[in-house]
Amino acid sequence: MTRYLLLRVLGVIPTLLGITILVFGITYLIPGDPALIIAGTDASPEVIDQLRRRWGLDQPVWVRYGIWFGNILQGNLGESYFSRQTVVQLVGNALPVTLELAILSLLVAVVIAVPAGILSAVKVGSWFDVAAAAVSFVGLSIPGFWLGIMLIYVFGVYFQILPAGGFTPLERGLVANLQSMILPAIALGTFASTQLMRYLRASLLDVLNADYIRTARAKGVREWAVLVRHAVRNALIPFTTVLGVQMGYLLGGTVIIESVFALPGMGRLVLTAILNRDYQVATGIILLIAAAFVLINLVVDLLYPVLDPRVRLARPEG
Amino acid sequence: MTFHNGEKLTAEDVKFTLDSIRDPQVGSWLRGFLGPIKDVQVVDETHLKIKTDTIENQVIPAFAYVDIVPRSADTDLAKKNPIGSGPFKFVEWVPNDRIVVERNTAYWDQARMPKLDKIVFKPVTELQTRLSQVLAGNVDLVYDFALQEVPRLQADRRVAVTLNPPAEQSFVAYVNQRKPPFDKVEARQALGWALDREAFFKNFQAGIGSPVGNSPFTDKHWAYEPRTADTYRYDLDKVGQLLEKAGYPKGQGMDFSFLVPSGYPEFKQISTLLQAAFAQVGYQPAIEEVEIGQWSARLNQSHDFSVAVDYPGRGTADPALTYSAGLLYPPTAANVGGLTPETIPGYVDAIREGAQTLDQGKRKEAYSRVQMLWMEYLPGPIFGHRSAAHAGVPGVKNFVPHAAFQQSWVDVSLEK
Repeated sequence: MTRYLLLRVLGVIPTLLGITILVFGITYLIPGDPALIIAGTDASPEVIDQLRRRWGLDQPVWVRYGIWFGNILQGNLGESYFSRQTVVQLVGNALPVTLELAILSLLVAVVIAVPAGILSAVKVGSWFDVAAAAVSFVGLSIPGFWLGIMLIYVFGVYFQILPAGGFTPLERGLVANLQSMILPAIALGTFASTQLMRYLRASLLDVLNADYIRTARAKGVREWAVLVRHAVRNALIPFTTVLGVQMGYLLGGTVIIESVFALPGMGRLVLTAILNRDYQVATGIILLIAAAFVLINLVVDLLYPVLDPRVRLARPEG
Repeated sequence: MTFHNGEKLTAEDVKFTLDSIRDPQVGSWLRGFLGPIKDVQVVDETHLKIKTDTIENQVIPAFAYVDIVPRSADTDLAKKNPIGSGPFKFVEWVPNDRIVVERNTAYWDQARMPKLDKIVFKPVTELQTRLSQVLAGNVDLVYDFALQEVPRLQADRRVAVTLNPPAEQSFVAYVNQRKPPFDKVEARQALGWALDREAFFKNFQAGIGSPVGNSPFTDKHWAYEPRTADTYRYDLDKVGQLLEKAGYPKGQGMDFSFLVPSGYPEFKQISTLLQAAFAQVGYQPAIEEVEIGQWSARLNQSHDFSVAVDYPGRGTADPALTYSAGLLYPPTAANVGGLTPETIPGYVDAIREGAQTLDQGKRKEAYSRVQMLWMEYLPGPIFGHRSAAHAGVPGVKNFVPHAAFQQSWVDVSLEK
């Protein structure tokens, strides 16, 4: 058991190292030049060269990688060429927005997906199952930006009961904050819920056909107890993995929903950084997102033995 | 007169500002604007002596672009806390979320104090969200949105739409003269005849703007040369004839594409109309869409492009400035199309003549020559002038859009 944990934790190190090389390499491979963008189209070639020298962009790529990696080891992710704010500061502003959006939309997704998924699996082939399948296909096909614009138009412009986009920070009151986050959470959560629901339904159907469920029923265990204690608990194990992966995606920021609702989150931050060739910000954020992804997966992996005794039993030497 | 940090504004600060812009180490985009200045001397606390070799008409209008900064600040291009002396002072910038400025209570012009306590600028990239926010009353003003939305908003009583006169920005095509096919003047002229300007403005600009093209100036500008109006129109026969003359009969051997940046629909619309026009006479140019950073690098650094549409400004400036700044008109190393002082005989002389005399008649004559030489060699076709639309809630008063987008907010007020 200890060995399993140790191997999983140590395995993260080469992954993260590989990520730094990949992130740095890809970001610097994109054609374009921050000096040209910040100096503007009226600038002369000397002005642009001067800016490139100042930012060290005239150095070979491996030298720049070395400096960047050295800084990262010291916890310095760099600063923006444009706003002169550090990456940590920028992420400090954007991450709470994205984190709140991710949690709320995951909540929306789970609230829709869990009851609908369970009911669909239990009443497989019923009118509810068919209707849920139809709704989830529609949900999967509706583009997030369109749903977002429609929600803004209906609740923001027509009924005027919620703000038409924009973010209200928590300091300005919980109610105002939640009001600004409801629509984006619904737009994002609806899409996630359809995937989660299909997944939960499939894994629950697998479990319901398992031998131990038949045994439990044969023993005379009541149907709801079979469902709650035996079936759902087991079906939730793979569901947790999918939930973890979803959370990872959501933490990366969802560029489209953040743009539609004008939320100053991670997605827009990284997109603007890439478009501006703000290398330090782009590499810093992508690295953080990748690291968060790796860590969430690690946590999910570490949770497995807790959720599933079979994982523990499979490694008796630990 | 004081800066926002309380320091007194003196001639020393103005000298510091101008010298910083002129210093190539600083990297200011305005350096070319102040090119003719040879020296800046402080006479006393409120007077400067600015030296040029000769009369230079571009210098005074260029000052309109200069923001005076205190010499105690460094010359960093992107400051964390910008300090000026204007009616509003900087409070904070949260990237992607807001820029906040507040009333400068120590503003020098006590007779014209700012009416608003503070202004919050919010970047909202999604057009429909921006418009929804003003319609819902969540924001008070939306600045510069797609003209196609104007008729819808004009019909909505919740907002008032204001339009910029079409004058400052003109739609142009940068044409790469360094390589075929546009090293040939006939090929460039064919491009000038290929755009259905009327169709573009009618279908994509809600009929707003000025389809009368071919000059950086409109007929409201003193330097405008009326003979340019009809030099190029929409004529597919002319396109075919000129391309044949250029050595590409019936579309044979002509290979080029339009380079378009993502997120600028007007550039793509014009490129598509031009593509369609060329297709009708047997040529098949492609449209290549790249994101803006790459577009800019290919235009300015690698020169890896054939034709690219843009809407540069300075159509309302003094022509001395119009022809000395930017990427299209001055024949300098920064010229996108590769225009050199030798490309058009007499062009540089005519520009210098207009820039170095005070006689208005002679200036007008010189700039007429500049415009007609441009028509003849057509280093970059000009396709009319762009307007811009802004929409505000009815409580926004005295918002007058600035013709050259150097918006002042000092007189704007808000009645709730």
